[in-house]
Amino acid sequence: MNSKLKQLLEKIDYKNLFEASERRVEKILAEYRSEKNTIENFDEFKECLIEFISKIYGAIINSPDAFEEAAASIMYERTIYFLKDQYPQNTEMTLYEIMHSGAEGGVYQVLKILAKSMTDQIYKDGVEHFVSVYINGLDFSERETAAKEYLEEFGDILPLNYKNDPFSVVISFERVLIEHPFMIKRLQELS
Amino acid sequence: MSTLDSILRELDETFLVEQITKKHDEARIQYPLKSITVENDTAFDDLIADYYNYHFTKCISSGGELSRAEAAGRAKEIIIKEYRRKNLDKLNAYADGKTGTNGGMRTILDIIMESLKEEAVERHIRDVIDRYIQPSSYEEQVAIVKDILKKIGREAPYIDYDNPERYARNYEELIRALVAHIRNQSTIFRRL
Repeated sequence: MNSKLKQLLEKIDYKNLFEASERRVEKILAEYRSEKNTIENFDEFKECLIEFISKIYGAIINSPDAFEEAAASIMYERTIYFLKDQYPQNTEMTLYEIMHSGAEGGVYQVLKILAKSMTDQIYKDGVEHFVSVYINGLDFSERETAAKEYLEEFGDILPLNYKNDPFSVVISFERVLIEHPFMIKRLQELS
Repeated sequence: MSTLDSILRELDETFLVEQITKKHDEARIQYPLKSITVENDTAFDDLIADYYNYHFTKCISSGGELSRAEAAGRAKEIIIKEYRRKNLDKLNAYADGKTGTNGGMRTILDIIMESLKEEAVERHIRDVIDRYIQPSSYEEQVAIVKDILKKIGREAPYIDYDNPERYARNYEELIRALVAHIRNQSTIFRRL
């Protein structure tokens, strides 16, 4: 395998790119302490989410206080964005209802989902960025060669439709590379 | 208030949260961890025993503590059950706790809390049902089935509305199904 492709795969490997960040996020969640698992009003609701997301961002970039002064409105908007997948409809009011009533696990459950959604999304963004930079630096023949080398090394763990049709790997090479670290992570989890 | 209404009131989501689940969630959120990992298997056992005892005394026994072995044993049963559900075994749990993978010890303690909370909810449901309908009273069972059929309306062609006796022995399943249906509705409406 050529060194550029090898370097990319090492760079986007979960352990190398994101594991340390995820551990710091987990630590924030583990250290989280509150007397109650509910919020009283809308101000407290926003404050709780903003404070938590700022800590998580700080943990991801390993600079705990970096987001302390960040604009609350931006942090709040990001919170809603990250939770939209899990609570797609009427996100803000659904979250408020859950955190206010304590139903569905209350505050702690929402914070856990927020942390997970952030780590998943930010890792994915990182992988897509590095793969995109790598792919844009290749001409078509380099891309074809790299895809073939990739198939030689990882063909056995790819779905059969890819393994039996090398050209489809060349065509979807960027997508395949983006999926690669997630596939490896899933395999590692199995073992 | 009819017997069915009284049962539904005590099995209502808000009632369950206020009376049962809130204290479990609060107990968990009041027990922060300094680290998501433990040094070794003994430290793993020590931590789950400590947490189990803490949660047990706070939410279940109101003070009566278990021995370390009893607490660790009960906690391990919960963890093993949950890992088996995911086709994993207890070695995976120890590995997660020592390496911090999958949330490490934070997730392990969450598993214990969720299980104790679920057990408490189940005990409450059983108590409410048995309190309002005596398990050995056929008449009470027929009466509650009549109430349930009335509540759901005569719209389902597959229900034998004229012979509630037919479902009398399944009264508990019917109550649980009705409660689950109401809870699903409340989850849906919370999102609208």
